Amino acid sequence: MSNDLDLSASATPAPRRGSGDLDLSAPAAPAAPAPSSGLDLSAPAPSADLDLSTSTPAQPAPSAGAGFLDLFPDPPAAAPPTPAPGAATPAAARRPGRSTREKPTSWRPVPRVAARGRVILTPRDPTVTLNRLQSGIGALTVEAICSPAVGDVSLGALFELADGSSSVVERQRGLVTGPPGSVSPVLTADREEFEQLIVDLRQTQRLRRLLVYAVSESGRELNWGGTLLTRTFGGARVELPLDLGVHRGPVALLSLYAVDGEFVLRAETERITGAVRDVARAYGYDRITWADDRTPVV
Amino acid sequence: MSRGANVPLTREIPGLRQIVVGVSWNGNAEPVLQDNLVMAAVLCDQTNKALSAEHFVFFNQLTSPDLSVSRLEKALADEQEQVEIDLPDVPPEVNRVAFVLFVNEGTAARRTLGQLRQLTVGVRDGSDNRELVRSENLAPALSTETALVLGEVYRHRSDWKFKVVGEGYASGITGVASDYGLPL
Repeated sequence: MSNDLDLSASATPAPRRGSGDLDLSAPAAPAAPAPSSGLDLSAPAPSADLDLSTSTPAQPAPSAGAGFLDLFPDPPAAAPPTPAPGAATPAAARRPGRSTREKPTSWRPVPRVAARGRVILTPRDPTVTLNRLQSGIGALTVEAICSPAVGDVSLGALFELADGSSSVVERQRGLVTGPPGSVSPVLTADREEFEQLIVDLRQTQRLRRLLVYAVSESGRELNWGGTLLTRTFGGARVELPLDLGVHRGPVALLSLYAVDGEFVLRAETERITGAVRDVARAYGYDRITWADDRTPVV
Repeated sequence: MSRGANVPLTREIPGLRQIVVGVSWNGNAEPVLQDNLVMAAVLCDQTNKALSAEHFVFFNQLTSPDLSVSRLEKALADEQEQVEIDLPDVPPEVNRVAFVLFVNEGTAARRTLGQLRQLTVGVRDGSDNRELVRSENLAPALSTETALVLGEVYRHRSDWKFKVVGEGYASGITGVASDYGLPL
């Protein structure tokens, strides 16, 4: 196995143009500042060149530098030649023996969503970063806008808190608050017109990461369609089209990582074989224990 | 100090460099309300707009980019929240710093600032924590508001002054963000 931890898992060892060694578009990467987060990169190389613990600015206070963390380098074809100063250097400096490979040559600023703005997550642009106000004021709402034609959609989330504890919210399983039984929950599973999850942003600093999933309540096949809509308190919208085809079993939809006070949202849209427990395994939520493959012990 | 009143700070106390602006409310208010009260400082330009989203200092953004304005981790002296300003370090483009108290309406729906009985804002000398000025009780004039501009520290010629504002927002922090041009 290659030691440079290429998370995009390209099989060819040949140099790849443009995209560089550091491909943070893999699911777990934004969890980097949380070393105990059950980060499962499936890479048995702790001494790998990619030092995840320093891939974001370390200071807890606000910093302009965070704006240059490129979570998804351009695909090889499009490679504008201007690296952002300070962004390429630290990663490159940690790879002294990599001169045969091209250094990352394309960096673009982290996508943001404006006040009352709208962002659509796509395979090419799968992430958006909310600023510290959007991540710390009011509530964040995640809603599965699906017609009855999709089937009996049950929306849930795996989450990990800053104290290391993990659990699940899923309204249709009776798991409505996270942590379970909390009177002032960080996460609430609810339903209005559609299934929704609510993050209380007064408690934003208690949340380390979460993964939004959906599954058929009765275990049937779902014929996916609709949109996962994430709304900030000010009304900015992040939309994720749910064109996942027909699938039996859960689908991982959206991950959220708290990075230095900011929420990084990332489209996952991955079909998982099995049940919710298999979603937890796939995304490294290994601090949850299970009564059966879809019922956590709370 | 009553609403609308202002007081010179650096002209009266020439050596004043660091001030602490703090808010105090009655400690026996409903816990859900108290847990969701948030104080913020907004660094504004000449037109009274925030310079950027990073110029909003609160528990999730502890300092301004220039480090001149910081939220204190632990408020002292019977105040629930405090923000410290190093006056000489405030960048010239910052014309005023407004102090806001709001109810975070994530899970605290239907709570309002009108449920407080006591609410004051004060300014201390950061070097010795001595209280310089304190507002009148701002609570009696509040009813359905969920956000309030408590006061502001602002430039006046080459000096800094403090003014009690006490202006409420029924539209809450959303209204405040809109007025100050903050992306929310």
